[in-house]
Amino acid sequence: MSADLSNFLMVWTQPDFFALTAIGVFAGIYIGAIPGLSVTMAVSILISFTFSWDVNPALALIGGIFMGGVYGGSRSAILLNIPGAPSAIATAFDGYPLAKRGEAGIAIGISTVMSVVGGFLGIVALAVGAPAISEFALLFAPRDYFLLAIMGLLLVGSLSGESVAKGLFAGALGVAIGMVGLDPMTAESRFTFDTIELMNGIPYVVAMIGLFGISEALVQLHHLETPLVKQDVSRIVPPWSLVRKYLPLAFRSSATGIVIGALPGTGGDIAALMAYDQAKRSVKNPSHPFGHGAYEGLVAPEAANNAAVGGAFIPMLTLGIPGDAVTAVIIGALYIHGLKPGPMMMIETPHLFWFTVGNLTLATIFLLIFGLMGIRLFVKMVECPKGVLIPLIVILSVVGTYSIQNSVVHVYWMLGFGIAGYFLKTYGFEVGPIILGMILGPLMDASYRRAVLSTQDSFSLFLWDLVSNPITFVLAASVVLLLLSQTPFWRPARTGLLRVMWRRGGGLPSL
Amino acid sequence: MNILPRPRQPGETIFAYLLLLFSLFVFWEAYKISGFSSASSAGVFPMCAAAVMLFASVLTIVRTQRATAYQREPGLSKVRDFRNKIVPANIIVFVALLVAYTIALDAAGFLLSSFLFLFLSIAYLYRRGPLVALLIAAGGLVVIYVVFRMIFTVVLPKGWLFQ
Repeated sequence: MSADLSNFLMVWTQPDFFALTAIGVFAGIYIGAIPGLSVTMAVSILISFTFSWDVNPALALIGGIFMGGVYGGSRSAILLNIPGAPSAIATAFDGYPLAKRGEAGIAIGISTVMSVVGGFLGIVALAVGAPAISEFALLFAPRDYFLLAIMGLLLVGSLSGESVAKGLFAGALGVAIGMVGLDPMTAESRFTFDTIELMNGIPYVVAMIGLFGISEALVQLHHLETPLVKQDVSRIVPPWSLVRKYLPLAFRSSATGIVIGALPGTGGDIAALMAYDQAKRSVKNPSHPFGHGAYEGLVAPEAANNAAVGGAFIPMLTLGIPGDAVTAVIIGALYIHGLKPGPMMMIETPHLFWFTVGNLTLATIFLLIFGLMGIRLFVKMVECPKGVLIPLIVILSVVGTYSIQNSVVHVYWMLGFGIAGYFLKTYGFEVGPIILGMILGPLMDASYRRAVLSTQDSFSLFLWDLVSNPITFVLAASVVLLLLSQTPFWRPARTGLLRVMWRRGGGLPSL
Repeated sequence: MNILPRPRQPGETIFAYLLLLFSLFVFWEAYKISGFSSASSAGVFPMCAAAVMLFASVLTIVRTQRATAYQREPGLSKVRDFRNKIVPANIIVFVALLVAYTIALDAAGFLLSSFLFLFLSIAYLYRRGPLVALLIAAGGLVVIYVVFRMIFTVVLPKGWLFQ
């Protein structure tokens, strides 16, 4: 216990970790706030620079950026009606109308405070939930990991982008790219085309930087001229009465955020949208109608998206399955630092867990401090013209890619991913599932084959295993339900079921 | 099945067919790994992934064809339309600069090639005259070099021309 506490406090007491967390939060807020620079992009590019560091400082910086970035997007959503990050999409619905009414300062203030509330609740959930879940996860067999990974990919595929088919394609493409190289079990080469360069596979950081850095930069070339609006930001710190009034809603939204964040494959963006929707349905008398500058519409998504940060760390640290695109990137970084996220990581390296909890807590405090000050500097930063920003993103992407293995070939790969990503994005494909697929693919492959091998290579016994074991059965049933819910057969089946329940007099179930 | 929430973009149908072809190619390559030899062979999972890609790309083609077509300006050819909307001059010039930059990186090293890339692309995109572009490029590069080479001690390409 005392060891846990000292690990928790490590980031608070060592000046360099303390400073790195502060820098991370600060950088995260500004990167998240600049439209076109996403947290995922920032984390993917910056992570490559931390490869030569020790684990702890790298984690301190990454945790700070994550926390700051998820929040930072809200600022440009409020001031410019352009969400700086996907997690701030819901924030713009009511944030921008508030700014138009001349309440931009208060809107920023209240979203900061609620983000901090959500952030803290998420961390509490992480500190309590992760040890319990990792103990439970020790009972998981390879087939369960296989099912969990499928679930993650299905969730991210079906919830992001404009169609399920495109999400599935992106996820499967990622899995296929993740298979490139020598098979770790039999050393057969897969998709290597007899070239030595491909034997070790394609590092996902290379793909990540290409897909999130270069392709995003190319997309931004379409929006070079964004008109800027001057906003009144003289008063930032919100009155206490306003904060107290919305605390109950912030708690409810945080709970949603934690659960959504903890589901494999779903992160802050979906958490924020769900919380917004929930608030819209549950709040009877909002301060203004939703969509026209309701404080409720700002509180719910902001509390939820930062709560989802703590939530997203749960499956990442306990199961090794990323909660969203950013945690996918962080998992990649942990692997490179020689760690293996999963239930054993909590047992073998508990100090890293408590270090992370301490780091995120500190990051949330910095969020409050940086969030309520320096708005003037911020307004200057957001005005950075894209014609200057985009070339700089390219340079950073190149530096980041090259530094992984000092290989120019990787830079070519990165460029290829960037150009391919541009077309995929243009035609409505999300690139997030590709990264998730690249990371989950090898895990799915290995756990599927281990599961089949444990049944003496019999596929029918493997299928029997899926239904005969309680944990596995629940997971398998969830996967089947997820798949069914995406088919056209689902709707008639659902309404049919509703009708039956209705006739029996049980009232309408909440499906 | 609902169709696309937006009109079909120029080139979208061709892109969907290209994805189908790509998926077929991936499936064939996956099959070559170990065929259908056993339920746990190295090729099973790649084949599964390719099968999902195939299925999803067929669905995408169907949906794309059902979507309402994007209204072209009268008298504009399909190719022209694709050029205007999907790959305008901005994108072509920038990608050309990018390709030139990455090729030059290996020969000329990080500092020279990055400087040229920054200068040319900022001059092209920001359009505030060569002097402004020169100053921003030099300033930006100095900051990046100091932060990453000196503080983070990241190794940067030296270039074989100057060795």
